[in-house]
Amino acid sequence: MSAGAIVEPTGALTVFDRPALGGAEHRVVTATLSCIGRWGLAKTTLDDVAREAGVSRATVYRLFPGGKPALLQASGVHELCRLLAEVTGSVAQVDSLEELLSTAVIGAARWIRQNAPLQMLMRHEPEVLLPFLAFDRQGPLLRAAVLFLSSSVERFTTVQVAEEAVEWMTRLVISYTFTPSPTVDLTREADVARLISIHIMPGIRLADSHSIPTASQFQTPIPATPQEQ
Amino acid sequence: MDAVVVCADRVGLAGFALEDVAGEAGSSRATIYRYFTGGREQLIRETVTREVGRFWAELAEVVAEHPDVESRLVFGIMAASSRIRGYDLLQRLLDAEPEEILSALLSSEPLVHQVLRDYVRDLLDSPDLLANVDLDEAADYVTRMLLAHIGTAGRWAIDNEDEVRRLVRTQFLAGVIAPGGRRTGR
Repeated sequence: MSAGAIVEPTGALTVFDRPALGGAEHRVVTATLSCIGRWGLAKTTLDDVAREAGVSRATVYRLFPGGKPALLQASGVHELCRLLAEVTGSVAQVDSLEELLSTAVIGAARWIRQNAPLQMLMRHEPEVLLPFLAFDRQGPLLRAAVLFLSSSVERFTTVQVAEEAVEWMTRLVISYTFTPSPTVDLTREADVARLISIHIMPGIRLADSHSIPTASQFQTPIPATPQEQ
Repeated sequence: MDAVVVCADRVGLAGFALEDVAGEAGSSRATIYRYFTGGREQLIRETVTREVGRFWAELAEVVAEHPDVESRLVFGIMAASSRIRGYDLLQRLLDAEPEEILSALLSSEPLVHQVLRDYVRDLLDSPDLLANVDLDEAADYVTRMLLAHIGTAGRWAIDNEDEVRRLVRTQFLAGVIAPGGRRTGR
């Protein structure tokens, strides 16, 4: 069994344990990703996918009755789970929160940089990705990241701060991916180290001093003017 | 451009032709082409950019009464989010034609990022800026954080001032201005 996540178009996210995609399903999703990486989404037909997967067109329809949008959705969820699982695995042995955050951010940024289908869509068909990222439609992605990763972060801080930190890093990775900066490249260790030591760790220390140990939702506000206390 | 907003309101972005816009504006298709040589697509893109510009200009006015950086950011995020949720036309377009409206919004992004970064830079340019911080880099970082949260609540109750203050204080400003730093650079 492996963790899976379904991102509903309405924004609802269901994460559950499920068997890994069945053999044929997995082949079709992998074939879809290869086709997108080669030609983009618009030029990929269900026939291309069927041929690449070595199954019939009817099989593709039986497995994904929603056609191309359903295939895109399943492929996206598959890739997101793969990314988050890989990042989660890479931080299992780290010794400090700082090391955890930099390993996770660099790992995610490099994975995205090397992911051919994603790069193809970002470059040539960004409109395909935007509905999963814009405004509150990004919610399911943020929740998926928290579900996969926050328990690793909880070794070093409270549940609340761990969840806040994972969402924070996820937003930063998305920001630097879609709006690259001339001076900060999240695939470079020195840039990430600077970002984390200047902006992230001071914020986490401040959040830690104002968080409650076990609650998973924010309950006590920081006093409005701590410097006057 | 006013006519584009009226037409989009009536039938969505994909649903109207240049003739409809011309009719609504009391103008001709040829006149529109004279001003918008890129035709329909350019007209939509520039109209969206104008609406986005208005959105930010109004927001700057809303937060201008607050003397400190932190409050400007807090109330800016809160006001922006409630405006986006309350902007009926935008919400309908996001439901019906997300790819069209989001592509148009994406094309205005570099300009928004640049204008916002200059605004934030002025706000941060004060004696409260921490010694190890580069002003331009800090302005870019805070701008990203702002754009990442406007209209995208995630786990934060964006209508709750205490929560948004926690967010801004810990994630936006903790590494940028001294604790208790309250002045703005302007």
